[in-house]
Amino acid sequence: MRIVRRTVRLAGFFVLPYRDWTGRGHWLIQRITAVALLPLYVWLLLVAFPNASTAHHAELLLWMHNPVNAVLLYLTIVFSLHHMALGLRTIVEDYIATPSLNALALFCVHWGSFLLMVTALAAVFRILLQS
Amino acid sequence: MTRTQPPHKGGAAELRPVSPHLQIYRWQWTMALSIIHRLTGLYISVGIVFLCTKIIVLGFGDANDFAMFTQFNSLKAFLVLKAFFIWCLIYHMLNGVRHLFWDTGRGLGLKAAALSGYTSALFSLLLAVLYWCYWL
Repeated sequence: MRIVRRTVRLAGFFVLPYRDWTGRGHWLIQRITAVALLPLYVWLLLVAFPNASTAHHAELLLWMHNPVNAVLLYLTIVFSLHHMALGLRTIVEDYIATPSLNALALFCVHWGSFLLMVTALAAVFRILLQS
Repeated sequence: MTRTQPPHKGGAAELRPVSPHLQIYRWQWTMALSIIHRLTGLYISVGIVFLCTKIIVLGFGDANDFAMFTQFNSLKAFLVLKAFFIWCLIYHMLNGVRHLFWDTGRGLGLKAAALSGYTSALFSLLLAVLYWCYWL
């Protein structure tokens, strides 16, 4: 029976990998990402959006070929999606009271944002490596 | 103390009402600012998902896919959504700075909290209008 319990706990970790439910890590990581995002969003609003948001395909590729832009975009994606996942998790915890729906929504928020982050980072890399 | 499972799995705890007890509080403006912080966060999430999708289309698709993805970008409705996104971002940033100040234990009094709230709301509108004039 012990191996069954351990397997269930391990599976649970993959469904929602939070080591404890006291919220300490949540609080801390939310603050760290918030501080990191402040300068990044000043950059995004004042430099990236005016230059790139209405650009055409070739222009945008050229813009993202610049390593400085690529690195800043990379950081913005990492911190944004981390911060987003934590914020959405708080909203789910507050407003979805049914335990099964709550768990399902947390699963979707966590793995959805993770998948989006990994794919977007891969896209940034792919553009950077293209000649 | 370390919990090993979510709090709502604790039997009697399941029957307790969930967090924001909006019905039993007297309405206050600072409350609205806090709710707006959450709503703007939600809307920014939608925008971030959109922007990430755009990057993914750019990275893994060709010029045709990108043109298909951006075909609605010149619509008036899209411009309105974009302008609203800008304001949400500025408001969430300013109010977020307020939250970070609170975390250091400063500005938690009634007067200070109200003043900083009104200031951040007003400035977010001002900066958003400035930004719209400069960029949109």
